Amino acid sequence: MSTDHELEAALRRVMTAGDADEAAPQRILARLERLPPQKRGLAWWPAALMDWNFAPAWPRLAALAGAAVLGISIGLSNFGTRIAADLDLVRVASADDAGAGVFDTDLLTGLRP
Amino acid sequence: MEGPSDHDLMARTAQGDRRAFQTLAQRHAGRAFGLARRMLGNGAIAEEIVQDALLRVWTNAPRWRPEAAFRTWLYRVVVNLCLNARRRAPDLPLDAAAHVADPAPGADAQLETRERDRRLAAAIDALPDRQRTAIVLIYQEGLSNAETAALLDTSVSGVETLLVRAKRALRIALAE
Repeated sequence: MSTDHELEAALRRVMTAGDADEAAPQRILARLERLPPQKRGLAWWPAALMDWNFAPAWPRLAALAGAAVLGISIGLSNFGTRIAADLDLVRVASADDAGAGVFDTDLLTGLRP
Repeated sequence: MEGPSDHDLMARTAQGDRRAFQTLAQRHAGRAFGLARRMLGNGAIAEEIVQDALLRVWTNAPRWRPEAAFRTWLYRVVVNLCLNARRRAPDLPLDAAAHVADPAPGADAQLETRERDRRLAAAIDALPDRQRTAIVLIYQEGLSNAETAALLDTSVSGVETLLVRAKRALRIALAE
């Protein structure tokens, strides 16, 4: 084959000639009737949550729904308040706070703003 | 292509949908077998390769990320398995050259073409692995140079170099 064109034509002819064994794909599929378990590592659920392609996926939706229910439950109960109080995150205003040195008492009521 | 896309079928396969996987396998098994058979020249081993590749698709489906087309991913698995098979057994027995098209009976020119095609097929089988793979992917599977480069994990210029060397070797073999 002297020219590249002739070689190209021959390559396409040879490479696209029909395969003699047309039953082979069916044999392959028949052997795939019984499938082994899929590999799904223990850490699959964090990966599912971190999947940013935003395609709907039940693990992510279930986690979001669970977090929402948990947050609402904590909010509706006084559990959160008790925790905050235990951690001294909330201080009830008293006469000992800094406001006593900032605001003057009202002349009529005697109360501080 | 009618029916669900490869992407949708893979997403369902990742969820354990066996019927989706069977549909996907049925859709691609034939072409994958043709690719493996061309690369190896041995139909029996090509069947094992494709079965292995599709099993890997099934077992690893939950980890699949759609960074490339499914066909490209599957072909890459098949190509790598074929190259590994060739490295382990470089003297694989070749099937008879049944992949040369029968010409219409009669003319001497057609018989000459058939003989030349038979010699070309044998020369392709004798190419180094990566050159033969490039020839098969481009001339049999109809992939572009860019798709072939992605599949072989090389650059487009790398594919073009493989093709130049392969064609040079084929011309030399046919001239003998």
